[in-house]
Amino acid sequence: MNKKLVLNTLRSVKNTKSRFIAIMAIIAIGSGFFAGVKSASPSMKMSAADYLEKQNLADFHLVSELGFDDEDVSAVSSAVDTDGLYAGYSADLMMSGAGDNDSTVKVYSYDPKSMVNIPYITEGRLPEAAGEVFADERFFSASSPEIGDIISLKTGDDREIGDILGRTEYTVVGKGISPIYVAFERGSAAIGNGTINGWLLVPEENFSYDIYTDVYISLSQTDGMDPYSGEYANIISRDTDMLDDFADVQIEHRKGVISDEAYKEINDAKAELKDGEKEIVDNEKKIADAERDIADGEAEIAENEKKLADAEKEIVNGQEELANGENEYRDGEIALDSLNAAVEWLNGIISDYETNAAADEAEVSERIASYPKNDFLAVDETLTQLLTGYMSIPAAYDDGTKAACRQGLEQYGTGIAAQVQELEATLAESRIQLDNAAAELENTRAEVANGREEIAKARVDIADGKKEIEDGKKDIADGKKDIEKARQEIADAEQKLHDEIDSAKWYVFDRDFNPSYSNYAEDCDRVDAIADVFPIFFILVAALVCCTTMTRMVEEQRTQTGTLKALGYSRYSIIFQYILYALAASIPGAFIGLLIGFNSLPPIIFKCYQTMYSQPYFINPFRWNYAAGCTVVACLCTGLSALYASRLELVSCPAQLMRPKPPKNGKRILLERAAFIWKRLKFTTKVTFRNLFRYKARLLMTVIGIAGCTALLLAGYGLQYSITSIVDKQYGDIFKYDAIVAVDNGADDDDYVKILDECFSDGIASDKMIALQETADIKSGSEELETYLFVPDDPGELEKFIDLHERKSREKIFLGDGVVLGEKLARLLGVTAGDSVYFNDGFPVTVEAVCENYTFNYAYMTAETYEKAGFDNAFKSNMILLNIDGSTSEKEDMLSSRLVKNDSVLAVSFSSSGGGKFRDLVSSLSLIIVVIIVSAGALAFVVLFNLSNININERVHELATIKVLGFYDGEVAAYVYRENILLTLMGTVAGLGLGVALEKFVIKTAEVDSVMFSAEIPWYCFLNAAFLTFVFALAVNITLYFRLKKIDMATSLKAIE
Amino acid sequence: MSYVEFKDVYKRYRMGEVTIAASDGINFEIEKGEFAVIVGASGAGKTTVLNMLGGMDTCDEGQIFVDGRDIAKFSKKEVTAYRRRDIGFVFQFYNLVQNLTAKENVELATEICTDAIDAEEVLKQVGLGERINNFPAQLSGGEQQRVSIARALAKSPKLLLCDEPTGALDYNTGKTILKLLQDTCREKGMTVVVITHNQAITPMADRVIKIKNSKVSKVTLNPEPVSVDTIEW
Repeated sequence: MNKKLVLNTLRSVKNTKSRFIAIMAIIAIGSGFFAGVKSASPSMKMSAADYLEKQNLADFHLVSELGFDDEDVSAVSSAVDTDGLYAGYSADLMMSGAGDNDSTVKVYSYDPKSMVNIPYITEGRLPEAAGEVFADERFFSASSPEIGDIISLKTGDDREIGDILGRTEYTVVGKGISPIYVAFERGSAAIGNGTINGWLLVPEENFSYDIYTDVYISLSQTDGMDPYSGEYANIISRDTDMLDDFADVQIEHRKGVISDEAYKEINDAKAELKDGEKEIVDNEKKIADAERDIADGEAEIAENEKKLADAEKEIVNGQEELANGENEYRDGEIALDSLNAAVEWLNGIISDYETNAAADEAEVSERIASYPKNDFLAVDETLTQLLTGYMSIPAAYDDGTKAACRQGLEQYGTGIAAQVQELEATLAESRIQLDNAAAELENTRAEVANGREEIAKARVDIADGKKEIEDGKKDIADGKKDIEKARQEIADAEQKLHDEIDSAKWYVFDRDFNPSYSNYAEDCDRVDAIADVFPIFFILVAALVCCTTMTRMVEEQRTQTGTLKALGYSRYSIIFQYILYALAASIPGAFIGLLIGFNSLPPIIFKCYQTMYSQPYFINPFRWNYAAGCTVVACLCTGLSALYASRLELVSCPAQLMRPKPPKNGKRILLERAAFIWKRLKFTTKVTFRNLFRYKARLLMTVIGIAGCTALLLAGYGLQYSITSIVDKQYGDIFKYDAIVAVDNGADDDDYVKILDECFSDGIASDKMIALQETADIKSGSEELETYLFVPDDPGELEKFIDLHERKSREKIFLGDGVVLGEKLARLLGVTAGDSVYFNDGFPVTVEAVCENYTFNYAYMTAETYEKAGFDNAFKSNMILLNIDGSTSEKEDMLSSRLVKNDSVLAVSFSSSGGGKFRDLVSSLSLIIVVIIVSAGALAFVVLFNLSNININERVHELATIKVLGFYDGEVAAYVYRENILLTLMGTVAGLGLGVALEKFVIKTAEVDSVMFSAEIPWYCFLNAAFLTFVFALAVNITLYFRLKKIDMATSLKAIE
Repeated sequence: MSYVEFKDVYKRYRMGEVTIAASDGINFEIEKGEFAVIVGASGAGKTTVLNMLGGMDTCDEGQIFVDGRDIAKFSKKEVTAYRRRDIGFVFQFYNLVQNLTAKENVELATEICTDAIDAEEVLKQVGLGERINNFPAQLSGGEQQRVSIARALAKSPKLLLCDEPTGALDYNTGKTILKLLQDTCREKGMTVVVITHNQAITPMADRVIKIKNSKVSKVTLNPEPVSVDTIEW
């Protein structure tokens, strides 16, 4: 190769800058995009492999229904060659504190010595002492524990926390990522709302279990091995078989231990049962005794009442007697008074007439008449004589009569005094008697009152006693029932023990059983699939354009080629020139493209996926193989185009070459045959059509080039729509509810009433539906998937909250006897209406219909169907769906703050923020689409520019001529533009068609299991793609305008080269 | 004043360090209806004169009058309008658009002109009445040049500028083309300017302007121009 030829080539690079740069740019875009997108997947896998290697994610995870004891663990460790084995504990619990109210968490034991599943620390440190906890960096609930927070754990069901953990309060010391969780799905639990929100690591010593729940094994053989390689898969499948066999043998050990323990327990229970039965018999006897006692008591009461009645009668009599006594006494007293008065009267008379006084007859009778009348002194003859005698005889005249009379009178007085004395004694006696009688009566009265009170008390006692007996009888009945139940339970337990132990087995899970783990690999493969379609499209378009460009270049250099040939240069030197030119453009182009592509696209794509997977870092090595491959392809592209373009020139003889190439003959085009159209066309339009179809190859290439770009743009926009629209469709067209209240499983009807009161008060909620939602395994044939199962309490209410309908016909679906599946779920399971599916290995359920659904997989059925489908539990609601009239954030805040305080409420979520998790995925994919759109746009621009440039170069003579003919600049431009616009139009139309196909293909490869992208592309995506293509065309045309202006008219005078 | 007049026209090109004058004070006149031949050796500067006269290039200095207007002072747009209306150009290599038929090539010019002659009419005048629907590739060189002339004439220009019109043609065909140009001049009173290096054809011109070293070396007026048929070279 001649030095001068090299020089000539390099000079020509300088002279054809725009063409050279165009080739370089196309190669750069093509190879950069290809290498960038293509290396994303291996880099993502490589990063994951590196991370998993460093954290030493277990190759196997063993779970046994019977747990593992130390003997099992040592057996395992001797059975496989491990470089890390950890037997630990795990439990699903509810976490509170750190601003979180009852999150469901999976708590794992952590042993610093364990070399398996080492957590990746993002903040703080790992737990060192008891009571410390290392928390999941990413909880799904809004708040995640911060370092220093105290969290407390409870079981959330009837398990005792003390049986699981030694303490309930833990201090957060660090946060990070666990290799066990590749994505942000945390799995499901039997507590809370069924979804695990995050995981926690607590020191092993905090667990109270005595048998291990999990065994993790890391094989030494897979150390440093690519976990996505076939080699790894082989080892795992071999060891899975081995472990399965081993497990079948080793399970017997625990079976033995457990059945011993269990039978002991059952026997204890039986003994207890016997004791219980004896107690009941004793109690029955006690009750009989008590009943007898009560009968006795009642008889006694009757007797006593009779006695009391007698006593009362006596009291009445006593009272009467007492009254009589009193009367008598009073009479006595009166008599006494009379007696005393008589004595006094007598004594008065005696003293009055003792001395001198003598009374006349009148006075005597007066005095006698003054006698106080009473029954005790009869003023009889004698007395009257005595008195008269006494009074009428003055003392001085006394003859003894007076004295005798006085004596007689005194005798009377003494007689009366004696009577008085007697009466007084009698009265005093009778007083005492009366008082005694009164006292006695009082006593009797008190006694009777007491007696009554006692009887009342005795009656109450008897009533109580009777009730006690009643209760006792009931207790005994209950006890008998309990015993019956216990007997049944013991029987069941015996049966179950038998069954369970018989069927118990070890489960050997390899990494693929972790859905996120395999999803990550699948997602990487999807990126790879996109990387196969899009970049190849890019490369094809680039190759096409390079070919056109090189062809033009060779044509331009025709004379020079002839000259060189004439000078005696060999064919090869001449070919080499073109190849040199091609390489000079493609190698730096590829280099620039690779540099940009490698460093920008994989990190962008990784960032997208990082929103879904917990891969903490990204390794993005420069991939020499792709770089080399790309460069070689780029060089082949341009080099072969150069070779192809120069093929004719090389066989022609120099003289032929030096003569101007005979211009391609004009020809009538097909359209001219349709004379009626042709005639109507304007002259300029005719020219445009002629020119267009004159160079069919170029027309084709341009159309394909533009079509390719438009297709890429449309596919990009279409994908973006497909992905973003599904959130709106799901949460607008299908999910009509405004809020979901997740309710604790333990909540009863009263709790629901309370929650609903809170929802409906102040007119927040306008409508409600109670439902059950849980995750379930759904199976059909060999396909098994996890799905959300939704069971409304009242299927009639469903359509107000969830609009089930067929996608195409939009026909409403009502729940009947079968299950309604989401479209994607049905597609993945390969079932249609009428087929049968199984939930959690239960009974077959007929697929009733398939409904439109985009995000996550849902299955809907009625409670009746649920009961028949063979689930472990009966239908029990765990959520309330709400409609809120004119849902505003104020209303939502009010509702959620109110409900959070309710212990039965686990979570409140609103549709307005609905699909939050899903929006992440959408935004991540959207970013990839933006990358595609930008790249496609860049490619479109370069392609259009280059092709238009070639077009002008080819026709510079013609354009100079029409300029000489007096075409204004605008007219010259229009002359070219008309063709460009038409080409763009044709390319765009073709591209839109191609884009639809491309989008369909990409969606098919890029879709994930839990999502169905909407397949349709709305009109505005077409508009966008077409518009953008035209914008690029316009931009290109504007730059071309200046080139056209610069065309020298003198060119027209020269011979055609 | 003459119909065409160059007055001290200079055109200089800068080639790196040196400045080359392609027109170094050109002065000449051409009267209306004359058949003028500008003759000179290769590189003498005749094409520069043609470019300036045809409005394809501007002069750096001096005045160029055509029909009383100084085209040297024209704006870009005026120059284009001048080319469009006043100039008919016949190229050495015909410069037909290959993709257009003879008629369409003529129409390419008439489309943009207001008072153009009908394309078929002009083609008949140049003797191509039978071949109006042929593509250039289906025509001989002479025929193509006739199309080229027809295209120039169809605009009824003030000046018909011909750049080596026979340069790419054989002797006999060249002669018939020259004859056509001369006849056009005579019959239509068209002012024709032919640029050529061929001294032999000067006797047929009314006026011969000889260019040498970027200057007009001699202007000869032929009172009795001869017919092309009598010239031989």
